[in-house]
Amino acid sequence: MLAEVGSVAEAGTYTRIELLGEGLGSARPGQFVAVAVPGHVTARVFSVHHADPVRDVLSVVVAIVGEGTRWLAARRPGDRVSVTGPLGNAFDLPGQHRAWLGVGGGYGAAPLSWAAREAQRAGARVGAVIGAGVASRLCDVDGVRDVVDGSLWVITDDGSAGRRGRVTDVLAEAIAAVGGPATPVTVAACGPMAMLAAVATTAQLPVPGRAGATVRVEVAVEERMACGIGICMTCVMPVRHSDGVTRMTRTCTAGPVFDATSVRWDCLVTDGSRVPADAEGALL
Amino acid sequence: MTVLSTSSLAAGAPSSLRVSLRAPAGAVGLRSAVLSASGCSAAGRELDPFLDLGALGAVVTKSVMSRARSGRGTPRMAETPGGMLNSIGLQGPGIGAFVAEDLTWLARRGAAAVVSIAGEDVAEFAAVAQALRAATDASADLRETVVAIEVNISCPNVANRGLVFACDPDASADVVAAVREVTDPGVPVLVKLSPDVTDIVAIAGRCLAAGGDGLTLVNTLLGVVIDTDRLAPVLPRVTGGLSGPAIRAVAVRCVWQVAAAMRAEVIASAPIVGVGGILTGRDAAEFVLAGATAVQVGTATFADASAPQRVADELARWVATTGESDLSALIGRAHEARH
Repeated sequence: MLAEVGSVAEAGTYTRIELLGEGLGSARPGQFVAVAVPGHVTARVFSVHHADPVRDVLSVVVAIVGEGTRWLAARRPGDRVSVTGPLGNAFDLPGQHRAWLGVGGGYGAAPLSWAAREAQRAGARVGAVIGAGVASRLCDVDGVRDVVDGSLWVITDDGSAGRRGRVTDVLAEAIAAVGGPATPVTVAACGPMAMLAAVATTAQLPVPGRAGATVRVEVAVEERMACGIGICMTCVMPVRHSDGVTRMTRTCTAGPVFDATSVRWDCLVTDGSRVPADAEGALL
Repeated sequence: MTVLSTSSLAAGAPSSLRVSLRAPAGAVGLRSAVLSASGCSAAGRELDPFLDLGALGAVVTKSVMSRARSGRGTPRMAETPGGMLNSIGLQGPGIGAFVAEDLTWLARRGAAAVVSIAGEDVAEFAAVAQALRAATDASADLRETVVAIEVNISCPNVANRGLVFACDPDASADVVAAVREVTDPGVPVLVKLSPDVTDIVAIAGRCLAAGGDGLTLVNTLLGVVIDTDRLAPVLPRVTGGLSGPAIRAVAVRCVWQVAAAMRAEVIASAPIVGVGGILTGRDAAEFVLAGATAVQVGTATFADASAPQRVADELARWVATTGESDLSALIGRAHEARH
């Protein structure tokens, strides 16, 4: 579908772009869109930053990593862009729990302010942890703070903004703050795969003062994909299905949001995933 | 003689694009000369929200093997100038689940299917074709849905140190003969050839002599992309199949060479299905003029899910500009031109 570019705004090192077109405003937090770039055969996919069904508009946060993203970031209001979406599934907001914590790394934080507001509207107590390598790579800190108020932890690898460290360093503290002593917490994480793996593991460690209170982790994954609609088979990841069998699973159609306990984190490798020997049809 | 009933011809397919393939038992009509391409349209269902599947000449399904297969690890793709590499590793559900779920869905949807099959040895190709035969023998709906088999011989032959069948004329002919023998005589067997060979005409001739009813030209070319930051290949298995507009001129050349050999009666004459980097109706017209009876739209579908249907519409408009009423009249026309 040809969408019209609405506002274009610089947001730190990122560019926030509005896309107007039929159905785009129906997106839910966690979903993504695929954008065609002239002269390139693969689509570029972006997690939706915010959607407004009344204006039928959504926005995405573009990090310039190559020619395609540079092209998109250079669009101006009124330009036409070929967009497919919204695609994929959405976060479970506020989940079965009354406390919700968003965790975002780099531009992965793009959907957090919107997701947090939706969780809050649904009655959850909300908080967020936003991290990045350096201050300039933090995404939408002000937008998230507007929603979660004081329940915000900002952290950078080099300490150039917020605390120095990794998002997992403050996870227990943040879980205790939004969940109190007994409320089960839903953690919704998006960002690099290594961060998601660390969040999935750390969130299950015992939190002082919360004996027996559960934490459920949802992750929105990012795999290299060519189409976003389930035809190219490039964006797969090993996922344990409800029948107990691990399958190489398309993250575009079955995800991008997965329950963290279903993801085979043991199979992550540099820049991708390997096929576990116990996967259905594994090549030996 | 097997011809699709007129009731199965979708209203959305331009009538000027009707063409025929051949099977031992007679002609097989395609409702349109524009098909999807194997590996670029999954099992068809995924494209249903974006185009009229019933208006395609056929959905060419992702190559299916005898059993479920996980494929390779990731990353599985790397973009290149005008194209991309893929290294999927033939992930699929296996022929049993494919028939029960995917093919059955296509039949219910009223789509035509070209079923792409693969194997690690000659026996596996034959077993997959046999399983498909059993399914279509048992169901008139499935029988009407399958308009051809496409044999993907660009996979490694475990019986010959992993050399791909398509690079070995003897192995290619063995696969084709085995598949033809067990396939319904009313169903054409198309053989999809690799361009990564010294003499594609020789392989084409052997495949037709072994019983192939047509050729799909061409599969991907082998490529490598290296990540200069990581100082390593992007794909974990190093090589991938190159597709997209980057290979179009190579694909048109292959169609041209094989069609020329057919016209010169160097090899048997048979329908050619052209594929490789088609983005527009104009691109498809190049293949037709070089000698293709039908075309497949593959990689273009990744960035534009409606591409096969759009290409068909554009191709039909091009046919009209030539003054011909049917695409069939233009097949191989460029061979008649004199400079």
